[in-house]
This record gives sequence, structure tokens and C-alpha cells, in this order.
Amino acid sequence: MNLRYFVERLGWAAFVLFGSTIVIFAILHVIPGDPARAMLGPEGTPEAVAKLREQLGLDDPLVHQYLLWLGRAIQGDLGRSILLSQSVASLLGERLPITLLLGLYALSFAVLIAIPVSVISATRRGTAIDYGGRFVALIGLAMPSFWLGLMLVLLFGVVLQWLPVFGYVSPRQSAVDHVRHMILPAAALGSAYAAMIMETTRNSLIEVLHQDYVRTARAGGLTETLLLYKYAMRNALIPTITVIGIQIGYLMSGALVVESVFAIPGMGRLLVNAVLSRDYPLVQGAMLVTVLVFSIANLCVDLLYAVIDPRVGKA
Amino acid sequence: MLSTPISTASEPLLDVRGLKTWIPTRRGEVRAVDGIDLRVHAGEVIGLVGESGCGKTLAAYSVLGLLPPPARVIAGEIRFRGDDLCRRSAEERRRLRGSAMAMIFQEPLSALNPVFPIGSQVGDILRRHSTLSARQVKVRVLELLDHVGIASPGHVARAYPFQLSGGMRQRVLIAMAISCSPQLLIADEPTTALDATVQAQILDLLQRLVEQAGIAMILISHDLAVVAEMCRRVYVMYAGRIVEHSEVAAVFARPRHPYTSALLRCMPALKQDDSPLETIEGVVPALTEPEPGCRFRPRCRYAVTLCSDQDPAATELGGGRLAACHRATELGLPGTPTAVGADA
Ligand SMILES: Nc1ncnc2c1ncn2[C@@H]1O[C@H](COP(=O)(O)OP(=O)(O)OP(=O)(O)O)[C@@H](O)[C@H]1O
Ligand code: SF4
Ligand SMILES: [Mg+2]
Repeated sequence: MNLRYFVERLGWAAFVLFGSTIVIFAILHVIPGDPARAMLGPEGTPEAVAKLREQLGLDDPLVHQYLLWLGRAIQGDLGRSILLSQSVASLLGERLPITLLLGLYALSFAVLIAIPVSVISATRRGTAIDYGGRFVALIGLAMPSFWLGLMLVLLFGVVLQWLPVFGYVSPRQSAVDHVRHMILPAAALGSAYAAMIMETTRNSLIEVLHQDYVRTARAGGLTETLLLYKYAMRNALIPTITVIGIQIGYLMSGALVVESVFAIPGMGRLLVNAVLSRDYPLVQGAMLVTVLVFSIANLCVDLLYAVIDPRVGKA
Repeated sequence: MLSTPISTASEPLLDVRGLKTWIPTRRGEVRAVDGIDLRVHAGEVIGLVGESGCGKTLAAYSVLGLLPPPARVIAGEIRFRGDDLCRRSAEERRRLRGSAMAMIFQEPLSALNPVFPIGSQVGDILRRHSTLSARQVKVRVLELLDHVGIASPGHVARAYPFQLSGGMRQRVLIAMAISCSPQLLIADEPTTALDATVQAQILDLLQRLVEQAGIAMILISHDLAVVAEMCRRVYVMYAGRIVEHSEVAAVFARPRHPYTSALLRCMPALKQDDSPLETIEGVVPALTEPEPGCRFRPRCRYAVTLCSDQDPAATELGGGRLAACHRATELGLPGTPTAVGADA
């Protein structure tokens, strides 16, 4: 990978992040209504509102407010949650890892299922196995994750009673219980993702297997296994990574839904409650870390491109 | 390494008989290769010429066992070192490919994998067919690149295909093809996609390499001048058939098939005067359900009634000459005054 590309992508990620902070800050100050009034509710006397406004610095110039907020955020100070009267940073510190783990498990689940299935499908193109695999994938894609989650709960939790259906156990408490609790949510969240990855990889693999360079490798007598996993797969994964990257947003919003189905105390429920109760510092903080995670994930995808395809960032 | 049986002059290295390679399509079977005979002796360079679409590449793929499905060999024998390849398993044929027989393709630009360095791609073939250590493979790769006239082998071995010119890529592909000292090399229009100046260099390189190593080569081309320069014998192919076969010099001086004669008239390099360059009128017929009679008849200026009734069989004309034309002996077809550079 070349350094220029790396710096370029890093710069872009930083730029996006910076732009997002402006948007996040602006949203709360542009939407109609007085945050102080909203926080205090109908009982708030005008004096109390004025006092809170001053406390929150809401009467200062916007630029000043923004810089103050940003400066604190960079130092890890995201203010205090009004609703839970706890520091936002520590709240997010508790909840974010849970959501990140869920997303990571869902992604691993999706990749581990999708890649082998797409290889089988592509190499047996047009056979019953190919059609069967793609049909199942289509169903996986069409089903909303919350519905799939409920079905999984019904089957594995209620009927078969193999796995717990609700709640969360931290890996520090018990690694086994942690995994047992996360299997169904990860499957519910990862299925549609797996379907997308599988369809993309299958199609690109079929295309790659028709390329001239695969024929060259065949003419050199290389085995079909080497051909598939070395000569074809690396090229075929380029579109796959694009899809994984584009759909990271899906994964994150899906996580919020799946968390509520399985009663997992992640970012999802925290964010919903924060919005409903107009807990502005918490909403801002949650949005900020979400954008941060998103930027880092996208940066990883960009760098992965360069690792897989030497042409990226050079040409 | 594979054992190498001694091949005498009487026993060809490659002996193709009655080869038919058809492709099932919705509109019927495309008879891309429709019963061809072809022989190559050890160390010999022969030409296979014909217009675009006449089945040259598919014939080559059939020999190597590289046919893209649904194309398949439906009849005939492909004897290599006396052994019918059609009866060998896919694994046995795979072991021959790259080691005993190799191929260079029409399109050097897309024939190398874009995401692996050159050295790794050449090395993979060496590793497949030898027991060299990783270190020895590296050394051998550099030797091979040097051998095909690449000035800085170390640099090129680390480069990716997109960083190399077309001519360089073709050199790399030649290095891959000769890496395991094949006995037979099929070069499928190795220079068609390259600049004119590079073309000559690549042809010189090929000629030097096969001569040095005693590799037999089938040079596929639609350029008769190239064939005249490099080959002793030539097979002329038309619509899935071999229509004429002879020593290059004889074919040039006195073609026996109207198609060959027409091809000669279309050669820019052999044109003596300022007359406009001729092209053969009409196109190669659809290869599904050919009409009865001679396949060249719709384009042949010498056609007679017999030609539309009977498919002309390839007839021996003496001295190893063959032509598949009803009028092969009676027509005094125009050739070219002198066969350019034919070393017969
Ligand atoms: N997959 C396919 N389906 C149908 N027809 C095909 C297919 N592949 C090749 N053909 C036909 O088979 C015939 C022979 O093709 P081939 O590639 O061997 O020609 P060629 O002599 O090498 O031509 P060129 O000089 O253009 O390389 C062509 O007429 C082509 O249209
Ligand atoms: S057989 Fe008849 S049509 Fe065919 S090439 Fe000979 S003369 Fe022409
Ligand atoms: Mg061809």
C-alpha cells in the first residue's frame, strides 16, 4: 500500500468526521423549540428556563458554543445526561462496546456463511445447489431483521429451548453465556447482510472465473483449488468489500432494532430513550460516537481495498 | 518431472486426427472445429492460419484441454507423445499443461492476474511442476525473465501487470509458457494486440527461444507473412476445417485451394504493385448446420455445380500436400512470385 493513499483516506475520514460534528451540533440548535424549555417540561417557570439556558450556555454565540462543545468532546467530555444524571462519556462507554460486539458478530456471521456458500454456488452455477442457495439468500434478504429475530427466538428459544432469548451477559462475567446470548441476535442482524454478500461474491466470482488470467493459470496447469482461492477469490472480493462498506450503515441501524427485540442494553435503547426525553447532551454524544465508528469502519474498508488490489491509489 | 519418450521422425509429437470440437447453443451446435487432422514433430515450427472465427483458438484449446464449457470435443483423437489425451483424466491433462505443453494467448493485456506481482505468477507455475525450494523458485523466475529479454528482472518480478507495457506482459507470458521446458508451445496470435515495432521483437524472441530449446511450436496467425518467416509447414483453416496443408514455400508459389490463393492476395506485405489491397468477399459462414457441399463455395470464384452437391474431401496431392477442393489439381491458382523468407 502506498503512503499517499493512506494519508489521503485518513484525511478524508477526518474531514467527514469534522463535517459531521457541525451537523450534529447544528441539528439540536436549528430544530424548533427551546432545549431548556423542553427539558424542564410544562412545569418549568420562565425563571428556571432562563437559568438553565444560562447554565447550558445557550445564549452565547453559536460559534462559541460549537467550539466549546467540540473542544470538550475531543477531551472526552460529552457533558452530563439530563435523564440519567450520569456523565455521557461513561454511559456510552458502557453501552457502545455491546453494540460494537453485536455488529462485529453479525459481520463475522455474515462473512463466514456467505463466502463458502458463494464459492459453492459459483462453481456449481445453474445447478440445484446454486438455485437453492440463492433462494435461501433471497429469503434472508427479504425478511426484516426484527421479524427474523422473533422467529429465531420462537424456534431456538421457545420451541427448542437451546439458547437464551433475552438479555445480555458481558464476556467478563462468563464468556460462554456471552456467546450463547449473542448467537441469535447476531444471526438476526447478520442474515440480510450475509445474503447481500453472498449474491455479490457469487456473481463476481462467476465473472472472474471467465477472465483471461484464470485461463492463463489453467494453461499453467494450476489446480482448481489454487485457481479458485488464489487467482479468482482475491479479485472477486473487491466488489464484496464495496458491499460490506456500503452496508455498514445498515448494520448499525439494524443493530438498534435487534437490540430492542432481544433486550440487549446497547446503544440502541439508550439512543431511543435519549431522543424521546430530549436528553440533548446524550443524543449529541451518541450521534458523535456513531459517526466516529462509521468513519473508522469506512477507513478500514478503504485500506482493505488497497491491500487487496494493488491498482487502488496508484494508477 | 515427467518422463519423455523418444519421438522419432515417424512418430509425431502431436498427432490430431478427425478432431471435432462443437459448441451446443440455442441455435444448434456450432461446429467450430469440424474434423481436422494436424501433425507436429518434435522441435518443428508449424503455422495455422485462417480468418477470424475459423476455429483456430478452439482447436488449440482442445489440444491443451482448456475448452470453456459448453464447448467440448465430440470426436477424434489428440495423440501427444503417442498417447490419446482425450482418454486421459482431467488431473493427468492438468499435469501436462504448463510442463509438457504450454500456450501463449491472443490478449496479453488481460492474461495476467491484476492483483498479484509478476514474480508470484511465474513462480506459481514453477512450484506446480517442480520440487524447487522457495529460494530456487525466486532465482529461476529472475533467470526466466532475463531469458525473455526483460532488462531489469528484479524490478519486473515485483511489479504488477498494470505497471507493464503490452510487449512486456507478452514477454512475461512467454516466460511463464517456457518456464518448465515444454515440448510443445502453442502461440495463438501472440502479436495481434501489440504495436508493430513490438510485434517483430516478440516474434524474434519466440523464434530464438524455440530454436534454442528445441520446442515444437504451433504458430496461430492470420498473417501469412509471419508464418512464411517462421514456419516450415502451414495448415490453412477455413470454417472449422483444414482446407490446405503443405510446405510454406510450396503454398506460396502455387496454392492449391482457392481460399489459400485468396488469402495470399490479401497479404499487404507481399503486394508488389499499387493495386488496392484485396479482401476476400463475403464472410465465414455460420458454423451451425452447414449447407451441403463445399463450405467456401459462396465465396469461391471457381465454384462449379459439383461444389454445391459434394463436400470436397482432403486429397493427397503428393509430397505431403493436401487440399480439400474438387478442383485442386486442375486449377492453376495464382500464388506469389517468391515466398518471402521461407527457409524451405
Ligand atoms: N461460446 C461460444 N458460443 C458460440 N460460438 C462460439 C463460442 N466460442 C466460439 N464460438 C465460435 O466458434 C468459432 C471459432 O472460434 P475461435 O475463437 O476458435 O476462432 P479463431 O479462428 O481463433 O478466430 P480469431 O482469429 O478471431 O481468434 C467462431 O466462429 C466463434 O463464433
Ligand atoms: S470445392 Fe469448389 S467451391 Fe470449394 S474451393 Fe474448390 S472450387 Fe471452390
Ligand atoms: Mg483466436
